[in-house]
Amino acid sequence: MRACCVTMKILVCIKQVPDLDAHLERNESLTWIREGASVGYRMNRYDEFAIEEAVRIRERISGTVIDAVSVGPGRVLSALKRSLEKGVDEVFHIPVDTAGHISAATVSWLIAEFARSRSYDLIVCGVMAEDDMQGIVGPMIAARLGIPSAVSILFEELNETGTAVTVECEVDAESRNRLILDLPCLLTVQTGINRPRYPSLSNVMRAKAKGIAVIDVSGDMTGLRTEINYGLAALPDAKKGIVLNGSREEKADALLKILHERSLL
Amino acid sequence: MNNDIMIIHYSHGGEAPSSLGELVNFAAALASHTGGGVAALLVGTDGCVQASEAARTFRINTHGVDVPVSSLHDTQAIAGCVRDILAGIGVRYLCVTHDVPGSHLAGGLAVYLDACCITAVERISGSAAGIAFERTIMNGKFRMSAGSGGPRTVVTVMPGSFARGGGIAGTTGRGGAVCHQFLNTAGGIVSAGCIPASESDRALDEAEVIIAAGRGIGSRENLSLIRETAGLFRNAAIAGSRPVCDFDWLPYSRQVGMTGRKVSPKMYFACGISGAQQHIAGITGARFIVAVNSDPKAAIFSVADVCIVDDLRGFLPALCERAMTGGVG
Ligand SMILES: Cc1cc2nc3c(=O)[nH]c(=O)nc-3n(C[C@H](O)[C@H](O)[C@H](O)COP(=O)(O)OP(=O)(O)OC[C@H]3O[C@@H](n4cnc5c(N)ncnc54)[C@H](O)[C@@H]3O)c2cc1C
Ligand SMILES: Nc1ncnc2c1ncn2[C@@H]1O[C@H](COP(=O)(O)O)[C@@H](O)[C@H]1O
Repeated sequence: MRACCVTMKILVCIKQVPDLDAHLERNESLTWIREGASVGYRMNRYDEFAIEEAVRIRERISGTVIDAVSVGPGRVLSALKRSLEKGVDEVFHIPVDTAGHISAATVSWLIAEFARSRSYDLIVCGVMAEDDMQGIVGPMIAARLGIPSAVSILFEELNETGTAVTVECEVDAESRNRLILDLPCLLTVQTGINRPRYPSLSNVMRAKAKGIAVIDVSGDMTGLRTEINYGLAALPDAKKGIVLNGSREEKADALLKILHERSLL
Repeated sequence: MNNDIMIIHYSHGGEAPSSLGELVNFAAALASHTGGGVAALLVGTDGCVQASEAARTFRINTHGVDVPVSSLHDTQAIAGCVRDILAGIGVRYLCVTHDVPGSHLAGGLAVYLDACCITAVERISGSAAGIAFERTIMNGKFRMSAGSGGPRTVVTVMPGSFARGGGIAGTTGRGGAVCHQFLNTAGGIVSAGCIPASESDRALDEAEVIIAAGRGIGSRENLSLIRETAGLFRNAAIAGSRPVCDFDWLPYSRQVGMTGRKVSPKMYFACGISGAQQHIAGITGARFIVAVNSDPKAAIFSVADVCIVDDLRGFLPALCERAMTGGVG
């Protein structure tokens, strides 16, 4: 049995990303995508797994508190609301005055400054953001805070005294590493670690009533080393192969012909 | 010599670290823009042995550090150690492989070395503004071009983007190798072993044709369309992208990609797969690629030999129907 008084304070980092299936266009300066009614925004899917894992820890260790934080323009409030619906207890918005790309250096600095004085036992991120596909915000937060970190975890188990966590990290299809980290630490969560559940009605109701704290992170960011964004080009530049045209049946026939020619059928 | 580019090759115990050759080629391309020299630091349980080998093979100066197994995944400790080794060397660019452990290390290095970090780089080009590092984002819908914003830059290099063979032009003679002591100044993390996969499903290795389902199939029920399509071929197996396996629509033994199987069938038929780099990493060995996707801008079309822009829920039944009725032959 777990000791009565061990509780966890968890921070989940949530990013809001554009819906990538929609038609996306570049903004005026060609440095990021154009905001607009046709672009839907949602929570980074990897972060849904991060929230679910935190909720599962709270189910195992009563008294655990889950905070979520998001850095971004005003629209990220909807992602934070969504995280409340998914079971997060308190949410924090760190506003920035751009709807464009925010560098990993900046995001990790803001989150680290926010988290520094709040004594989290565990900080959880997604393994990667679906839009900028970097996978470094988590490791950078850990390095800034000087806490141990493990990435791409597929299993997690806290010890009974709440001082360490054992994790399994995905390396490739052939193997996983098992690591033991002292708390506080940072973990990035890989998809498949759990099955994120749908919000319960009670959580949806609670989220409606709940306020979102806006955090003003003070400090000097001028020395931060960030990359220079030279701009985006639309892809694919060109299709590599042939494009089948015509009616659906014509396309099917054309494909069958190709498959016959290549003796695949 | 001015070694302003330092390759950091991290042997983390995962897949065969063939990536050193790719990093060398990336560094050579970078050096052609900077005009500087290239050196390498090999980090691993036998980093010093690897450093000697790399010095011979690539004729560059190398450094090695032997990391004890218990610290091999403590990237904080490794980043601290790299910082100390580089202390006396005027390095401007650090090049690391963009796999999961590599990005982990890169994030730590950027903070420890007060460097800017540009990830998943696939191409380099010179521009008036400076060297542009190019990376695809948003599942391959856009290519972002970035430049370094400081005196030091950590670059992670997308596996498969640069050749493996060859070397640095103009280097002759042999490089020297220096072996460094690993000093753990971080701590708080220990390795507790490696768990090998216990999979025995070899269907994807044996099939001539692979019909692969992506999130675009929409529901588990629509897997029947994939199965029916597979039924048209003599020796076909079905596979999926990672989300399809995460949903438990298919077992993980059928996942194709960077963290799944690397397949090399005669034909790979991608249905409702966007073509993220992590998926493409698994199909570079496929001899012929067909893709059906409702989005004409899907990145999968940049690698497919035959592109079909259509809703798979309509196209696959039509394909099966035409094949059965012998529309062509
Ligand atoms: C460390 C790491 C490792 C990873 N390893 C892997 C890996 O090994 N394998 C892997 O696959 N992924 C891997 N991923 C995930 C990868 O980044 C992508 O998220 C994933 O490949 C996307 O899968 P998808 O193409 O099926 O889904 P999506 O990206 O959601 O694409 C669905 C596609 O279906 C199309 N579509 C929708 N409806 C229809 C319809 N009715 N008819 C036709 N087309 C339709 C859409 O236009 C879209 O292009 C990894 C990610 C990380 C961070
Ligand atoms: N703007 C942001 N606000 C909060 N968390 C973020 C933000 N950007 C990235 N993260 C976290 O960092 C993870 C990896 O993002 P990235 O390094 O950008 O691929 C995400 O899954 C989030 O958990």
